[in-house]
Amino acid sequence: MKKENQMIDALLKEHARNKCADDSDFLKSLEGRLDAEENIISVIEPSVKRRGYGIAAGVAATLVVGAIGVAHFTKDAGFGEQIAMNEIPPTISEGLGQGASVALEHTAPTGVKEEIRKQDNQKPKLLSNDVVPDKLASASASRMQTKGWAKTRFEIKPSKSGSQSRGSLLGHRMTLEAGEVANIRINKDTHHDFYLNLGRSPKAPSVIGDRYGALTDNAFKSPWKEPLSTFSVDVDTASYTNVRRMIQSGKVVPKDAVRIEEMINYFSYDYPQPEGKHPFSVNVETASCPWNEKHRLVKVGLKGKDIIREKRPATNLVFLLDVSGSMNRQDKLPLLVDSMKILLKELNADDSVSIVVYAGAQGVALDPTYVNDEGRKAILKSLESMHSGGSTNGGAGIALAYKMAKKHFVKGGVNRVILGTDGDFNVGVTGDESLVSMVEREAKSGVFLSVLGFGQGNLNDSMLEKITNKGNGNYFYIDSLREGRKVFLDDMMGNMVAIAKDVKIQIEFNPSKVSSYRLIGYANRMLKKEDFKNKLIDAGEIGAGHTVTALYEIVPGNAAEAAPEVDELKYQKSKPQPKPVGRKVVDSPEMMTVKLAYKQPEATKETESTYFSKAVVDGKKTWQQASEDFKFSSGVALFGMLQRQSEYAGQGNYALVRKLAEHGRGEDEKGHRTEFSDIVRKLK
Amino acid sequence: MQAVDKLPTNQPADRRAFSVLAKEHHRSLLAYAQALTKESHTSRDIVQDAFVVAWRNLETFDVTRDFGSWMRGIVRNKWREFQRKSTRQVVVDDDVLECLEADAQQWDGLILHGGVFNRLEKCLKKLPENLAEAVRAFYYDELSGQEAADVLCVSGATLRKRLERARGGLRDCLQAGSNSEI
Repeated sequence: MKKENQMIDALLKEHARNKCADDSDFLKSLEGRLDAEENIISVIEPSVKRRGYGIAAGVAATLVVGAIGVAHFTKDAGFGEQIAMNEIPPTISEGLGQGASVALEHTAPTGVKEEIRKQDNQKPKLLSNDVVPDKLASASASRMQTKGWAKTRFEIKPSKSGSQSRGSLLGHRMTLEAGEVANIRINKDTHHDFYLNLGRSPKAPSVIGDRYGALTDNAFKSPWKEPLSTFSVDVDTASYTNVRRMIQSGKVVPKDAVRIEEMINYFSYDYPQPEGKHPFSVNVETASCPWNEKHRLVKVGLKGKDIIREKRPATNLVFLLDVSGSMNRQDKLPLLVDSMKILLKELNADDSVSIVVYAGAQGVALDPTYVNDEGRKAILKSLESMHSGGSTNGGAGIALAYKMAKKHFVKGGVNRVILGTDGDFNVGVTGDESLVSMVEREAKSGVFLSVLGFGQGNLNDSMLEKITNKGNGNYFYIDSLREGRKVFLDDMMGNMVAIAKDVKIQIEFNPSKVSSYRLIGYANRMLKKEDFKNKLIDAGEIGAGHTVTALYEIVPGNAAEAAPEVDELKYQKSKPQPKPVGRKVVDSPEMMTVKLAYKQPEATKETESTYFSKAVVDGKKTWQQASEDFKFSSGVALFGMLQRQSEYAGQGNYALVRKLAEHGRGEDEKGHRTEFSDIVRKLK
Repeated sequence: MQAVDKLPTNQPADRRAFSVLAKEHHRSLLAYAQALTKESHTSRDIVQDAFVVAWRNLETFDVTRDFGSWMRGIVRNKWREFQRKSTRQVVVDDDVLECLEADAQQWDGLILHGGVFNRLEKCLKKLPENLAEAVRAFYYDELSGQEAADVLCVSGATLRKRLERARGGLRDCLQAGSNSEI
């Protein structure tokens, strides 16, 4: 294309998108950001008087002098890793702080801690002799001066060990990882006001520090051997948002960050409302499989009953906010606070909000407050005074939040702990398992859990997903105010008001119609076949108006005939034979039966589940004839498989994903499906 | 200049006036950002960020300049910032940047006459049918080059040629519009 025509090209694309009309979503979102501007600034630029938590001059000075005036290392244990500041800037302001004491602390992967402490009034000196370049995360600091402000910049350089470094500023603690930059700005006149901004250095590696649990894709199974496929529903959406963020910023997506079911369930589908006594409808559609035309694809979709916004039950929300140093970034605490403000607009005088914060110590920041005019002001005031500092004692914070929620339990209402964090639990109950089992225990009280994941580089995705799976919860990743709006405003009813819990799906395949089958995604949501009937086994929740979708890839044929010949067993005679000797198959035109188990939201662990089922006959449609939802969801599934480099992607490629997404776009009022197409196009 | 009329220069800056300007300029800025990033989602983020930066720095806005070109400067900076963070680089050389700016400046002049998009609709109607159908297939039906060529039963090269002629024609038409109506 000629360079003169590039602007008209872009203009045509923009016109095609929305003709001459304003982009109201864009303007609405912009207004929200402008509204939030003043609050954001006040959060990261606290003044002593307004905050009232008395940052003494010495504390602020600690930040600067501690950072620039490096002295000696002390070792807590005999581990050889050290941190060094290989570029020491001159002192910013002489005499800034007597008694200033802290700079950076480095945590090796083994958990061994080392500290650098500042010796008062000592001239900074180079510690190059102490640097062991291969093993170290090294920190460099540089300084700029502007008007009345002094700026210091830290950059943590990547180390082979992939370790983290923490800066501790008395009450204000920050975590820096390899590749991150901290800009610290201090008012030289008052020494009180400071501004701390953490960013990532331009050449940063992708996502050091984010932790993902390993996932293994479900394989094809023969219904002859395993006629039942059982899994728990999953309404989380975090994986899609997280993957989207990584692709948009040009980072490599780790395979295990891709949970296909969360990607499919990020989007809502047009399933009919339930009729009859069950709180959700079951909708099954079959068609040919787009990435392997010889196979069939079965879409099982559930739709939760809609509740009119005005008839929403009263809510008792306990916000549990991580205010540890690692949250001190624009895309974490300030975004969390702004997202909460969006939710606040939706609440009314019947609803109550409490806030628990956790960092070095946990505490109640706001007692339960009804969201009437006065209460709303009190909640906003409390939100605006949020600041971060200290390390994260997630365990104690969660315990306190559940205690509050139980104390103010609203019978028949929504009782929910909403945890906002980057998942950096590093003090107290730290092991994944102990925290998960604590949440599992607490969930028995009938309090639900929502987890909002923030930020990058430190995200403990695997832990956050685990605790929501066990804690009657849902998990979202919030990377922008737009996403905050989706979770708290657009999908608020579904995310907050559960209409059924412990929802399990079990599918029985007819071996005379299905040679083998494979469930796409839900890799860590599989249940044992006997769990379906076991009321004690926990499973996922469905919210009001929520849709949950699962896809099965089916190899049509006769499983019994396709079963391979295996030598007869010597010691077992009564076990199922590999060949259908003496085993009869019921003659049925059905391909499969979908069975569901669920409990009412207020049911206890001992309550018996309700069961119902639906038989499915394959209609022999091709995917081109299938519904838009079928095309779109299969496109997302294929996208997930390609991102996971799955061996099951067949002839699928990104061009096919794009085709499926575009043919399945439908009306797309919220623009989520269009955005998906954009992301795919980017990978083309 | 419209920006000067609507933006009070006294401090503090008027939020309502800013919203009016945002409403007027957001879509042409989205197009501009798309010309830089070649991607619509990123351009939305960049333009949003640019508006927020503009709002924060409204006192530094030079009233002798046009709001649109001031905003495009911020969008360019945001785009460069994004490029630094991203491993996927889109190379846009200075000549192209100049061309983009020249067009955008000219089209800003159409704001008082219903805006560039309205004018574009009029110009689209003036395109000969063979060019118009190429534009419809490629831009409005969002087909890929090959798909559009297949639908129109022409070769890929013919489609490219028609699209290029259509873009040139539309550009001339917009230019004529902005010259005659200002």
